[in-house]
This record gives sequence, structure tokens and C-alpha cells, in this order.
Amino acid sequence: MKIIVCIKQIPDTNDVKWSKDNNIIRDGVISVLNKCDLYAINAIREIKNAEITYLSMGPLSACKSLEYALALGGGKGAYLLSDKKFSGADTLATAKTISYVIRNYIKEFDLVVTGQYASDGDTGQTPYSLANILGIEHIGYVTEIKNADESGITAVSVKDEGIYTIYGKFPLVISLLPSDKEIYKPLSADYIRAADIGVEILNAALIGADENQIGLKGSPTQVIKAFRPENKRECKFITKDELITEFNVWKS
Amino acid sequence: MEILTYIQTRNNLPVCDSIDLISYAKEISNGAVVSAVVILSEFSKENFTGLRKYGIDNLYVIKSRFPDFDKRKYGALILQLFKKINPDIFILNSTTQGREIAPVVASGLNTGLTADCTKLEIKDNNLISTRPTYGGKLMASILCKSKPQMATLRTNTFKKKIFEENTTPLNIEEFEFEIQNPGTEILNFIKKEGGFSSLQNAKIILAGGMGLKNKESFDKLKYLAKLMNAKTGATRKAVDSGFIEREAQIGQTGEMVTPEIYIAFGIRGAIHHIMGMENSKKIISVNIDSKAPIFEISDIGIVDDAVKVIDMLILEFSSGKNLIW
Repeated sequence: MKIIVCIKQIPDTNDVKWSKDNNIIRDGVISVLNKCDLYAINAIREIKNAEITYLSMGPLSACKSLEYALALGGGKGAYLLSDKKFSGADTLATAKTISYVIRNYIKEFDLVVTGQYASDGDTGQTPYSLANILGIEHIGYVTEIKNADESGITAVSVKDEGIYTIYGKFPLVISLLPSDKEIYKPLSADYIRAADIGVEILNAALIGADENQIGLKGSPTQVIKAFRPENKRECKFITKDELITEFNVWKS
Repeated sequence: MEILTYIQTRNNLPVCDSIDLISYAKEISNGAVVSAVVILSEFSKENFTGLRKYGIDNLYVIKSRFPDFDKRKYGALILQLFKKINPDIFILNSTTQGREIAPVVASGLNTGLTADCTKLEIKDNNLISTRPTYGGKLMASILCKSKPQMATLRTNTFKKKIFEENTTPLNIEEFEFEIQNPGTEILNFIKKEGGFSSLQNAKIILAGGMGLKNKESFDKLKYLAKLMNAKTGATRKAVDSGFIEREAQIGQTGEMVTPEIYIAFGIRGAIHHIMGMENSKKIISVNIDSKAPIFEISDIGIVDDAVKVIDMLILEFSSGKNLIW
């Protein structure tokens, strides 16, 4: 079974620093592997007879996350889509870029695995758009892979209205949420094997992308303003004994 | 100009979040026509005519040949509707359902989509969508260059409202589309009991975090909630530690709540929790650490052991002094 796992390296959102004029300082920010993706890799590593390839898009520094993915989940290769032409992509342009590499470069696959959302943008749109563009089925909000065989996968999908157990035949896209499952800790041998495999860098020409459909050019949405959320509250500190007085004030 | 909204249903009735959504669409419409689409296996007109006063002019009903829990083809059905109508804007609730349908429709129409917005505006016939990003640390206003302009709106952003001027009857159009069977198979479905959490309508919520340390303290918190006629909530970590049931989880992956009073006991204030409760009217926080981020979004702060404060309040509310609360 051929599996493509899409991952994203993101800035650590707990480590956001502000400049004096209220812009986010991006230099020197720690980059981490997106949390949902970590759980996705952790779930996939247990599938038997899987041939796993990792895929990411971003600057060259994102090789780190791909190598970590290889160490954590095993696998036979990793690709990084890195080209100035990809930059500024919104979710639609990102989904199209991934569809180009899957269709034109990787070509053969049974299953595409993604995280449900990325913690920096938190849109959760790219996997759905990708499945729709590839013209294949998608199972989202997956918390558990129950069974995987040569022809398909059974997954548990948790939505607002209830819990679904769904069987999907390949080809298929699935998106995973974080779960309670413990994350495998790679051994030194895993890291050595990952370093040996290495990461292949792909540009727009190699994946046969239409340049009008990718990056900033291919993105229908644009950010027209970014600003720091204002804090509407000012905290008044009191002792616990004063709390009852406060309650009575509100009541009246 | 036409704004289309998406109505979710439960037991053949529109859900509260969707009524909030249509009222919000009307509120920002600047005189544009406001419509709604609903997908049902069986449509009863009388369940929907009342929506007129909450803001909509037209209701498009798509008949689904699948049972209502099976929503796998809803995106494809709405794409069929877009061949018949041509709205300028399409907005949905940012529930799991809305967030699954919206990207399918947007990519099918080759247009842009902004997720989980907290504010929508219409300027010069364009939709401007504002949303938190970077885990809530940065706000971004986004314009979509192509039409329809699409967004999902965070629930509890706006409360439903009656528009007295909407007096003419609701225009209802029914559609039925040929659609392929889904390529996946639902083997089992367990409906969430009671559907939407009781936390959503609670006036007072007492929520606990890891500062409560164990299940016994959470049991105390539940007892206090009973005395105060409040509901009990929790952070994800507390739920994951087994201190309280999953339904109590508040935050990005749990419930989004906006009570009159939110009291946080032993909650540090991880951004994922804050995103689920920061729009509460009054926020009181009790934490042993004066530097806990929860205080940054609180109206009242108490630097103390949260369990001690719960004990004190139990005594206070049990003593009869506060019976009228």
C-alpha cells in the first residue's frame, strides 16, 4: 500500500513575539512540526506493508520536519516543495500545488494522509480541497484508524453530530485529529536511517505546475490587514473573601 | 446582491447556531437579499417559515435521498445548487459540518474561503472576513478576489434577532438533484446524545483546569455548580486526565461558550482554551500563579489555591445566605 503523508512545519504559536509597531516578529521563531501531523504520522507508522512517502511545502528549513517524520514513522522517501513561486499560497493554491506533485510527480498512491488542521492558520481547508481537486473521497476528523488492508481503510470520525465509523476504498484522503495515543520516540538508529534517506527538493517546473494556479498568483484570498487583537479587559485582583461581595454587586 | 447562508438541522428543525447565522447575514447585508439553503430527506414547511423574521428572504430546499445523519454528499449537492442560483456571498457556521462542506464547495467553484471568522463586513459589495490566526495571537482581515466570496463564521459570534420589516411570506424553492452514491461506506453511526452541549446555553459556567489536581476536586466543583445553578466545564488536559467527562471540554476542540459569568478554577489559560471562552460576559479567574495568562483576559482575578476557593464558596452557598442567587 502506497501512502503519502502531507505535513507542515509551523512557527511555534506559543512563542509569538511582537515588535513595537504590533507586527509579529518572524525571525528567530522556533519552528515545529504541526501537532495534528505528528499524530497522523504516529497512527500511520503502525500500518503493515505500507510504503510511506512524506510531503511538505515550505522553506528549506522544513527539511528538518521531514527528516523527523522519516525517523518517527519510517518510510522510503520525503519531498519538499520549495520554490519562490509557491510562496504566498492560500489554501486553494496550496491544495492545487499538492495535487500537481501527486498527479505529475509521485503518480502512484493509495492513501493520502494529512492532519485535520495546522495550528498556525487553523483553517482545516486544504485536505478537503485536495481531495476534491484529485476527485477522490475524503474522511475527516479521524481519531483512530481501525483497520487497513490492501483495498481500503476503516476509520473513526468524530463530528459535532456524532461518531461515524467509515470504510473508504483507495484512493482516499484521510485527515487526523490529535488522540490520546502515545507518540513513538525515535531511537538514534531511526534518525540515522532518516538522514541516509534524505529529502528531495522539488520546484514548480519539476511538478508540472501551472504558474497561474500556485503561490500568490493562484490565491483568490488575500490578507488586507493584520493586527494584534485588542485586550478588552483589565483584570482587577481581589482576595477570595471579596469575591462574595463582587457576586452580590453583579446580582443587583 | 444575494448572500446565501447554510442551515444545519437537527430532527428536521433548524439549529440555533444557524438562526444566529441568518440574523448575522441580515445584520451585515446592507440591503442585499439574504437566502438560506437547507438539505433534508424530508422537508416540513412549517418548521422553516418562522425563519423569515430572523432575516431570510428565500429558502432553497435540497431534497437528499440519504438519511439525515449521512452528510457526505452535501458539498456536491450545494455545488449543484450553484448551477441554478448565483449568490455573491456564501457563509456557513464553522461547525464540523460547515467546515467540511465549505472547502468542497469553494474548491469546486474555484474560489477562496476564509475559515472560522469572528467578524464579517460588506464593503463596496465585497465580503471582508476577519479571523484569529497564529493560535489567536494575530487577527487577519481577508478579502477574496473571486466570487462567490465564502466564509465560515464561528458560532456564538452573534445572537439571533427579529427583523420586524420582514413581513411578506418566505419564498421557498425546492430542488432535487441527481447525485452519485458516496464512494465511502458508513459502517456505524452513534448520534451524540442531546446533540448540542448544555454548556452552550448556560448562564454561569464553573470550569476547572489542572490546578484542581484530581477528580475529587472536580466533584467538589460539580457540587458547587449545582448550588449555584451553573454548569461545569473543563480544559482539555483535565478531560484527558480523566478528571471529568469529555462533554465538559471547553476550547478550540471542545465547546465554544459565552455565558454571563465564567469562573476559571486552576486554569492557566492555554490559547486553545481561551479561544473557547474569551467572549464570556464576565470572566473571573482563580489561579495560584499571578502570572498565569488567564488573568490577561479576566475581569476579576484571585491569586489563591483554586480548591480552597471552591471550598469557601460551597460553604457560602450552602449556608443559605445566597439562596436567591
